[in-house]
Amino acid sequence: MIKKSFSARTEKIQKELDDAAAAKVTAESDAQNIRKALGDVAGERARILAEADTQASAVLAEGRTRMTAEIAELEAKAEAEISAARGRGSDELRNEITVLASRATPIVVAATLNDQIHKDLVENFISKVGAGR
Amino acid sequence: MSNAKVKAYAQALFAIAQAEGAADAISNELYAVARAYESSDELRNVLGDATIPSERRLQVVEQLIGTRANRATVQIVSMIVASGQVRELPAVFDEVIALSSAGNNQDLAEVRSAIALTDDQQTRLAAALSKATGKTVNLKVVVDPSVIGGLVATVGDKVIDDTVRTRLDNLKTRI
Repeated sequence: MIKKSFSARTEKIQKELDDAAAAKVTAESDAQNIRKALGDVAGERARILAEADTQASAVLAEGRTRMTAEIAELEAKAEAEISAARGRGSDELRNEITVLASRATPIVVAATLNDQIHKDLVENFISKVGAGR
Repeated sequence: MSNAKVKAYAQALFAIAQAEGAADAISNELYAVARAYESSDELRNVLGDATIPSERRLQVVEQLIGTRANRATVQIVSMIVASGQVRELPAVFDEVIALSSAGNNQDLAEVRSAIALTDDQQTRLAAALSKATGKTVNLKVVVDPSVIGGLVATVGDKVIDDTVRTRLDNLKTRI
């Protein structure tokens, strides 16, 4: 009776040991699978990041090129406008000076003509006309 | 008023002046009135304003020249004003003086000057213009400050311009 009981207990222990060993193998296999999967995820992550980097670099490069072109265009336009405005301003200034000068000149000249100059102008006219011009 | 009408008016007025026996004096006075009319904005505005009663405008004429001019001159100016043809007054009176000059075998020489000319200057100027144009001239000097200095003479179609104003205009054109 005692022997039977002992044998049963030994079997039970052995079974538990076998189960534990099997469980360990399964666990190790699972662990390996998990590690492999983790490795794949890391690789995928790295791939996605690399692809994103590439795309971002391309977008950045394209944006930089476009922006450079736009800046150059804006600068050219601004320079042309500044040049035109400078020319316009210069023309307007020149015209204004001419108008002001033409208005002021007769007044200034009239103010500088004294009696002697008036007399000289008249005498000069008479002489020239009398000489047959 | 057409040119023909101006000439017709002038001939009629000159005939009146001749009938008065003072054609030259009246013509000269009419010429002076024409220059006064040209140079005075106020006079032009008053005499040409149809909203001012004709009697009032004739009173202005009377006050201006009534005591200083030949009676026939006053009447001629009044007639022009009353007829509503006052804007044609310079053209008509210039034609009258031209007829008067022609009657004396002279050409009208209108000289514009910034200053009044002495009798001596006018005599020498008339002689010079006669020599230059080959015609005996009836010299009329108009003091016109707008010429600034020097003189411009018009004898018929011929213009001799040596004014400061024209020199400045030429300079302005070049600029």
